[in-house]
Amino acid sequence: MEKEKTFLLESELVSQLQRKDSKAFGYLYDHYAPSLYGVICRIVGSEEIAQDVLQEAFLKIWNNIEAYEPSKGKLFTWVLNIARNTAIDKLRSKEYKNTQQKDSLASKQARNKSDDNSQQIGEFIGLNDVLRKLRAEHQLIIDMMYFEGYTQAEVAEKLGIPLGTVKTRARAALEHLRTLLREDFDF
Amino acid sequence: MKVQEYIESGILSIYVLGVATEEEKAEVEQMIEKYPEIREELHTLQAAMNEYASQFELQPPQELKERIMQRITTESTQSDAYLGTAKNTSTIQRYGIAATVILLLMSLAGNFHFYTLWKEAERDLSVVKAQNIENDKKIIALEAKYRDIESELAMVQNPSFQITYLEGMKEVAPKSYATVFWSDEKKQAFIFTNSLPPPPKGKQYQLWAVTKGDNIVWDAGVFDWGKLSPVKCFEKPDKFIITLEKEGGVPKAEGQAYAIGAVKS
Repeated sequence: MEKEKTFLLESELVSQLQRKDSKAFGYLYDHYAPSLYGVICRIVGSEEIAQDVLQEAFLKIWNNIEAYEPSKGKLFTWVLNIARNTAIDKLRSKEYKNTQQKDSLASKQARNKSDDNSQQIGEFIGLNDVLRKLRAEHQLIIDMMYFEGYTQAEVAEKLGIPLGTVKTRARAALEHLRTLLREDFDF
Repeated sequence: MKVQEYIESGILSIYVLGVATEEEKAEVEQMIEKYPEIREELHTLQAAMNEYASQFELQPPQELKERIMQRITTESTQSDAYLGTAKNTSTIQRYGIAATVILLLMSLAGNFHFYTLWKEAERDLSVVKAQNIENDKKIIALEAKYRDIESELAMVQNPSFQITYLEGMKEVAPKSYATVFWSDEKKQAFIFTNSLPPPPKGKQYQLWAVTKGDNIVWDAGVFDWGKLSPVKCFEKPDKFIITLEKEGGVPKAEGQAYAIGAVKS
């Protein structure tokens, strides 16, 4: 059996993908699928739908890989954005709204966490200390935007804050997240 | 607009969180082209967000990979019909059952495939481990060799050591030589012999110190071939002779002389 390379430089991977090398795509899948699938599941709240969305996202990645520009950011950032946007589109689609209850898994969890910061933490199975240390209000705003796709205006309305302060709230939340992660990693 | 002010406005966070409006997106993309500090800030925010998103990591079902891989290889010709909304439920159900069976079979095949890959990886790992042990041994040997060379160098440079070159006997070891370092001050002597032929099994080279017109021969001891070895020499001799003797040495030289050298007075 042919040996598979287990480590690729990102630049190598990108050029192989742009040459439509399906092996490179398999490598991309192996490395990124769990992260993407996790995010998609959190957004759409159902593994069944998430599997369709993941498939759709990977097809978009495959078909649009030429559009990826390394100067604009990491491959993972680009790939993750595609997955997240595909999932958010699904969330907003008629088809989804008809079949699913309104609250996604993410919003329920975030809301639970903000209601009772200590009791519900057990629900975040397998998540590390970073998440536990992230303040509920910060996680709520990140999750509302990232996982639920609320617009800035919707966030302002839901949280009862002026539209003008949504950006600075978002910044405070990401800033806090970045600081927490910097304790573990240096990037 | 000042860079810091722009960063503090929070627009980059909105961008990273995927809720920027089209105008805001265009603006951010323009700004990162112009200002490296803004780009740097954006990238660290993205890295933090990537890390955060990865916290929710979840393994998709195994057969999904096969399905997607199959899709991309046939993708060029097919449209997105697959993603279309289902109309005929009963047909879909029948297809569903068939698909489930196929997926189960694929999953079993997948399991076997991954098991084989895993076994192979395990084999590779043990090979690598063995190589590492081998390399460690080599490094230890090289380090020992290096230390020898270093102490030899130190000796060559130490003015209290006198160096005597012993030339190989023409009949047994032509063009070979050995080097004796002797210090009267320290009453120490060392020999280095790597250009003499390696001694046969059961044999060892022995050094003799000869003084006063060949009348007195001191046994300076046997030594290891191929590395810097201490020998016994307490008085300055006139000559050094190396003979090949049985292992452990002999009290009086019996064997073939291999090298000889006169000590400079």
